[in-house]
This record gives sequence, C-alpha cells and structure tokens, in this order.
Amino acid sequence: MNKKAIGVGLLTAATVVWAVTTWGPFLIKNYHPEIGSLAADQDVDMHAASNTPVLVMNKSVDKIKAGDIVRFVYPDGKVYDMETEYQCSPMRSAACIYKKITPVACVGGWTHCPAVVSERQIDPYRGDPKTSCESRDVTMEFDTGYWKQDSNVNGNQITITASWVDTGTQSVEFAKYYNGGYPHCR
Amino acid sequence: MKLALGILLSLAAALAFYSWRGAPEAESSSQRVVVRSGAEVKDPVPLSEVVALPTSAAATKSSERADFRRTALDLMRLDAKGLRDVYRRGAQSSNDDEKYLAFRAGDFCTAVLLNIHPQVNQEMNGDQWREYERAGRALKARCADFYGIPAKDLSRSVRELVGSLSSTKSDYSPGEYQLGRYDTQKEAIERVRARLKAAIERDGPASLIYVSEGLSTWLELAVTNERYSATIDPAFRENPGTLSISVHLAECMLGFSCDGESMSYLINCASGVGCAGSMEAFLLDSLSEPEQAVVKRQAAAVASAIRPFLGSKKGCLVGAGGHALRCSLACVTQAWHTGLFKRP
Repeated sequence: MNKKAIGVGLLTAATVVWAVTTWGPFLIKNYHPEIGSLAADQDVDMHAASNTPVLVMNKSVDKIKAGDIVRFVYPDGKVYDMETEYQCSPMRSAACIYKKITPVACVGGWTHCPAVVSERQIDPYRGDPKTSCESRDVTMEFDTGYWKQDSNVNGNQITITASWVDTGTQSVEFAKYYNGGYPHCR
Repeated sequence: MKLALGILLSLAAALAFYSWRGAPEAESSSQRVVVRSGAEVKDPVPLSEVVALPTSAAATKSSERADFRRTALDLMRLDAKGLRDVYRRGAQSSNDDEKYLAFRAGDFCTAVLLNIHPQVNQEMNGDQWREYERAGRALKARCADFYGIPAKDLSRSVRELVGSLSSTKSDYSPGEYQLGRYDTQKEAIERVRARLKAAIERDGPASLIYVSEGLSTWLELAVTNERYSATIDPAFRENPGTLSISVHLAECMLGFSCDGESMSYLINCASGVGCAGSMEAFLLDSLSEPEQAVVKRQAAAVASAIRPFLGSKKGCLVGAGGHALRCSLACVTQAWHTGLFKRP
C-alpha cells in the first residue's frame, strides 16, 4: 500500500444541528470497537447503532425525532443511513430503534470506499455483456484511509464532524470479473 | 338486629366520610394547579370533550388501569424478580398494558445480556469510575433473573413486543404520540395532541412512561406554533431546547424512581453516558445554572399540569355511580387547567 502523509481532510465534514434531519455520521469504532461491521451489529440486534448516538449526544439524544436519518460508519468503512422508527430516548437501553437501513455509497463518493469491491463498482468497467463477451482485466484504484470523528455537545447544540483521513491509494485487480464468466459467453 | 343496624350505620358513616373526603381532595387538586400562562381560556372545554362518563365497562377497566399505573411507576425500582415477572407476564400476553410493560422491562436488560460494553469516557475521575462500576454491578444484579433467556431471544422478543404494539396502533405505540419533524399539518398536530391528552387523562403521571418523548416534542412544536403558543405556560417558551429534559425531570417529581438505583439511571451510567449519582442529577448535569433553573420551572409546570390526574379518586375515568358525576365535574376543572393542551 502506498501510504501518503496522513492528513485530516475536511471534504466530508458534516455539521449537524437540531434543525436538520440527518445526524452523524457516528463512528461505531469509537464506541463499540468489538463491532466490526453491520453484520456483527445485526448479530447483537443493532445494539451498537442503537446505543452509539446516546454515547455521543448524552441525554440530548431525544432530539433525534421519529423519521430522522442517523448515519453510521462501521469499522469496515461501510456507511449506512438508518431511519428511526421512534424518537430516540435516553430512558431506554436501546436508545434508538431503526426501521430502515440504507447503504450509503460512501460519503464523498466511491473514492473513499474501502478496498472491498462490489458488483456495482465493477459494472462500469465490464462493458455490456449483452453485446460483448470480451474479457478484460479490471484494475481499480482506491484511496485508502479511515474515518475520524469529533463531536461537541454544547448545551442544546450538538456538532458532529466526521472526516476522512487519507492514507494513500491501493490498486486492486479483479480478474475474476471478466465478462467471459457469463454463461452465454462460455 | 342491633348488629345489622351497627353494620348499616358503619357503612353509612364510611360512605359519608368517603364522599366528604373525596370532594375536597379533588378541589384541592385543582387549586394546586398553577396556570402561569397569563392567557385566559376563553371557552371552557365542554364536558363531553374532556371526560367520558364511566360506563360499567370503563369501571371494570379502571382496576386494570390501576395495575398498569402502579407497575409503570414502580418499574424503575423493581428488583430482579419483579422485572422478570413483568416481562414473563407480558411476553405471551394479548393485553397491551402487559405487553408494553414487558417491552420496557425486557429492554432494560437486553444490553446486559448481550454483553455490550461500550467504550467509556477515559476522562472519568476516581469517584465517577467507582460509580460506573457500581452501576454495572447493580444492573447485572437487577437483570439476574433474565440470565436463563438467550440474549438474542430476549432482544428479538423486546423488538417484537414494541412492533406488535405499533402495528395495531395500540395506546402504547410510541409512534402514536410522536410528531415527525415534518408533521406540521394541522391534522397531524391535532391528532397527536388529542392522543397525548387522552393518555394523560387515562393514566395520569404513569402515562409519562410511554408519552414523555412525544409530549416534549409536542411542547417544542407548540411553543413555536402561533396557533398554540399563547395557550402554553411561559416557562415552556423560555428555552424550548430543554423541554425534553424537563419532561423527564417531571417524571421524577411525579413518582417515578429517579435515585441512584433507578433502572434508567443505571443504564445510562453503566453504558458510560453519565454517572452523576442519580437520574435527577444526570438530567441536570452539564447544564448551566440559568439553564437548570429554566428546566426546573418547566418540569414543575409539566408536573403541576399532570398531577391532578393522579390515582383513582382524583382520576377522571375511574369511579362509578354517584362518584362519577362528582369526579367528572372536578376533572373538568382539572383538565381545563392542565395547561399542556388548552384549546387555542
């Protein structure tokens, strides 16, 4: 991995106050280091995502109203928007309960995705398998780094800032995604 | 014969005492309510709109409601067996009262059973750290009777309970009392206002266990909405941003346990949110002195508006026969002075 000097980028800084509907992003890693991914969180019935906002916002967590969106970054770098079913409450063990989880491409675009590729990312490089069975190598460049979060609760106003710390780029070859793999091309 | 006469006289005396005791109590309750808004209520709320005269079904229901009210107020202080009993009773029940209480009792213990250990604030001083450890031990002890249940089963059951209450739009569905951020339409506001008002009249202070978040959001909206702001206690307008804390503080004033053994405090402390020593201290912690003063005024206004709906004799939907009319008249006064839901 080609590591560049680490610097705090503010490309994706998000300032959140009570008037807006998207809260966060909250970094799960800072509060639940044992939870590595959404799947691991689902194993404990989303308790990391339920609990992290109250750890950041303290009792002001009930400013997250029903239907608001709460954005989370999991340690594997994947970002999700979760829609609250009810207003969050510091009086419950599961402070926030979510009804809908939507993966976010990546805050700031695909360049900040981790080096784990999805079919969706590969697609533009493939060409159209209906018209071509051509096989070609796909090599993608990924920026690597990690998310950093700062938060400040000042009375009634909560400011949460998340930023991408750039650690360089990584080239990844995806030979197994040749169009030749499609059944009609065999 | 003498014995029969004696019993009859005793009964008559008891009835007279009961009637005498009931009326002034209701009156003093309404006198305790301080309406500080300064805004005069132009149209007294019609009787039919405030209180439904108890039918025999309502009278039957009232004893169930007394159970709910008592358990709701006690929930934060129940011991391990009590919590487990409340959960066990409601988990398989078709009764919404029991299902809601089971949801809350189970929710208290899910994080403990799932063995969730959030990263806590490393800047805790020695006393805070000791309090954090004490809260963790106390929470585990209170949840000891849940350890026979697989953690995931408990967690799933808790979600299913609240999901089932929501899907039927039960009186305990949190969504029924909560305005979304964009619910600014008059119909939505009125619907939530009516549900909140009915819940408070039905369960008095105990209703806060399921309406507190919705109530604070409604008040936040009411103070900024010209249609309602004139009818709202001025304390609410002082700092709308603290209303959610104030409503929780009002719970402490109305009989919910808020000391260092309260379940909600233990959860917040053991999960590293805050270890101020008690729920009341936790709620006021990190607020400036002027903010604390505002929160206390707001909490007192909420509490005084809800207090008249305490318990059976002061409540509006309980009692039967002759008691009902007398109670209803008192309740009109009480509800009129509630101050949270006055008609614009």
